[in-house]
Amino acid sequence: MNFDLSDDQRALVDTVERFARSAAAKRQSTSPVGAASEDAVLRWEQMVELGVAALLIGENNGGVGLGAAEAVLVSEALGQSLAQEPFVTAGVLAPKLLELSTSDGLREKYLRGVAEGRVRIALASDESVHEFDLFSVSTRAEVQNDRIVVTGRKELVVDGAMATHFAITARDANGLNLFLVAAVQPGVMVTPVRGLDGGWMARIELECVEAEGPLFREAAGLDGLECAVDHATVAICGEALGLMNRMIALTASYLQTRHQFGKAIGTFQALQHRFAEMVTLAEQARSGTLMAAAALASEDAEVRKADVSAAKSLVGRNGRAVLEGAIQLHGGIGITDEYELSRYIRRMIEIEKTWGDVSYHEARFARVTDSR
Amino acid sequence: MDLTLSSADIAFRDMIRGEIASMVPEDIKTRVENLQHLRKEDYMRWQSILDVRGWATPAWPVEFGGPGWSPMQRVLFEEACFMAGAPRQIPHINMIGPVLQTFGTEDQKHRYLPGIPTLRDWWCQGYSEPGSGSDLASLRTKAVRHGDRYIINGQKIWTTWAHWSNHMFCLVRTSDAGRPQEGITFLLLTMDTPGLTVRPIHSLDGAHDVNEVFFEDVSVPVENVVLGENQGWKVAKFLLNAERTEIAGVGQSKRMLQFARRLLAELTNAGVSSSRLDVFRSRIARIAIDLKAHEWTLMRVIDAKPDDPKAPSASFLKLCGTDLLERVSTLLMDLGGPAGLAYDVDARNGNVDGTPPYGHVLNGTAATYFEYRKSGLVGGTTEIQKNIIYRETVSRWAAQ
Ligand SMILES: Cc1cc2nc3c(=O)[nH]c(=O)nc-3n(C[C@H](O)[C@H](O)[C@H](O)COP(=O)(O)OP(=O)(O)OC[C@H]3O[C@@H](n4cnc5c(N)ncnc54)[C@H](O)[C@@H]3O)c2cc1C
Repeated sequence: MNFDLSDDQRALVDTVERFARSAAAKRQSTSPVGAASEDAVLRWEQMVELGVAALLIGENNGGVGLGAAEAVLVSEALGQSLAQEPFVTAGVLAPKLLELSTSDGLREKYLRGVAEGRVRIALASDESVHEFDLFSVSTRAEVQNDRIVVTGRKELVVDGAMATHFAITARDANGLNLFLVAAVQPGVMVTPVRGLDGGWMARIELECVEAEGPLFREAAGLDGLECAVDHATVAICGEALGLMNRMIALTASYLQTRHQFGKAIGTFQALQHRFAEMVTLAEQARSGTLMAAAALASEDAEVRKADVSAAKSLVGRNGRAVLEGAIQLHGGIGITDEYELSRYIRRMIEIEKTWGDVSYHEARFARVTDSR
Repeated sequence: MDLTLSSADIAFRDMIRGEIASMVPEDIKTRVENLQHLRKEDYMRWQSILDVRGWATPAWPVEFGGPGWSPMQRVLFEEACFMAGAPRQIPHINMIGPVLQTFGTEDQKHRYLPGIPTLRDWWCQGYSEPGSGSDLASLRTKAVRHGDRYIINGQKIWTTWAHWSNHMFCLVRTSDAGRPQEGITFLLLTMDTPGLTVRPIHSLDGAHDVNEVFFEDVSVPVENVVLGENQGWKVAKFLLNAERTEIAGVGQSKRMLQFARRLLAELTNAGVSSSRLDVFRSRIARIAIDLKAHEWTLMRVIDAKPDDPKAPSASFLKLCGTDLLERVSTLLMDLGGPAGLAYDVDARNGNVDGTPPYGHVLNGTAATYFEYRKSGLVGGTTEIQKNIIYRETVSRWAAQ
């Protein structure tokens, strides 16, 4: 093992960090939906130019062929400046879905477009808004006149307002599977839903919409879907590490510059200890995320699931402790919308709630590890 | 020791619960139960309704038109209001009222007290400054005397509801001699005084409650001083004591716990997995247990003789109350689940009539979490409370 970055990795991180710090990379928290989607597409195109879209795609499919470690590094670098969107969905989740798909035809047809940033696929899986569950699906796929048509409704589709295609979970005669649907066509209704930090998700309603697929052979099961979501989950954990870095950095400098009772508040031991806890929890979250990035390469799906769930629950729990510490140590400034910290706080909660929260992942971890 | 509520208190509790429950207007109650942000009119309407019954100023003695309730009765009243979905009572009513009644001149009492119960006169508290939060005594907003007027220059911050207020009570520096506490004066002013400007501060949840207030050559007559020049710290300390029971947040925590239980029932009906529900159930139980103990601590504080060194102090109440508010608001957010990813800030603030995508309650869950991050800051931070508890208790324990 070696935790130092290689020269190539260093260069990649530097490039992404430089981009992420530029004003163009940042999402405005108040843009109306139309402007916000156009904006997001524009930002994604810039990231594509940086080479980020093709990063994880195999060389045989026109990509760079890097792995989960690099995905974590890139999303951490983006997260540090709140420039995440939509690397995790368009740069990680979509390519992984296609790569893991057992349909050579669909992979051939779409993966290059994904690598070039022309095709933006959002996963539309959730139906309940009360609890994350990839497999609780009532959307139907049927064959009508030799075409597959899909009918159903999906909620909280991440980056759904800017997608060109949706990957829809639906049940056909053989059970649950995944289908591709073009976003702009009759029967598709996309309703933008404003997110906690002002980004846009979508509710998607499909009425007898023509679909391609399925992405997975009947017998193959849906581990490909779960695995792709696990990849995205680890990437989003990487983003959370970036958020924690920034929150800790803001807090550190505040502790040194804010004075009360004639001294820097960082001289109060109670605050030193709270700060030390924040730093320690962030380190634990980092360890968990790296562990999970390693587990993504595992042949054993159970190992992968356990470690990814461990990481996501650690990141959710520790990320929250870090944000709460940051608020407390800042005093009133910490609850102020205008101050930079607020965006990191809201994004952290978004991450925690995306693709399973702490209790979801603790339960999944227990399910997988109890049987071992 | 007698661990039972007196029969008079029980009778009062039953009476006040029944009455209050029938008095809260439906639309206000709906907004409260929807976890929405209330409007100025909501607070004013509720105060007027209470005023008809003579209950608008629970901490005021009868001679000033208050109900003359005991501390226990006030707690029971507050609880009844929270459980019935009433707006929280503006704490300033119980702050400035008793201050004026205790230290005010006849003229001040006459002029200011009548407008308070209905909130016709809405007061805000101008203490904190950008450079003076926990270290309040270092405040620098300066009032310089010119004949029979003070000219004020400086800035206040975090002033809750300054934008809804027409009056402010504030602390200003009138002297640099001696200890910092010795040069502070408690001053009353009207918000439309020339030179005074209010700038909004939006908080994490997108709400506008707090403000910055700027003073540029704001001229105030000397008769607006309470108690006397450089006597302000004494008034401020008296006022801190006046909010002892409210600071416990028992009613607010109970209300949020009630909302959490309702949400749990909804999730159960929606078919959420039992493993997830079980986690919530045990968290609710633990919070409910701590809240029960907290209520008993409050009873002990209420009952304590003013100078009993053995009694738990207001800092205990604040510390435990903060912990509960933080945890129960966190629980609400977690109960909100994925739906809490969506947030329609205009719907929560009541600026639009529409219903947010997943309904008002779910829309308000994460926002409530953000809102209650203030608990460990307002009224003295958690760290400051711990410093106080240590100072108050360590010698006594060491002597045992
Ligand atoms: C929602 C809200 C509403 C408010 N409403 C009002 C209002 O209406 N009127 C008003 O006057 N004020 C109001 N306040 C201000 C509030 O009283 C202050 O925020 C509070 O006193 C803390 O001050 P500060 O924000 O400057 O933080 P600071 O005092 O700068 O504290 C920053 C950090 O340092 C810590 N710290 C400071 N001193 C010590 C020490 N000696 N030992 C250990 N730790 C220490 C604090 O605990 C905190 O963690 C409000 C605040 C909020 C958040």
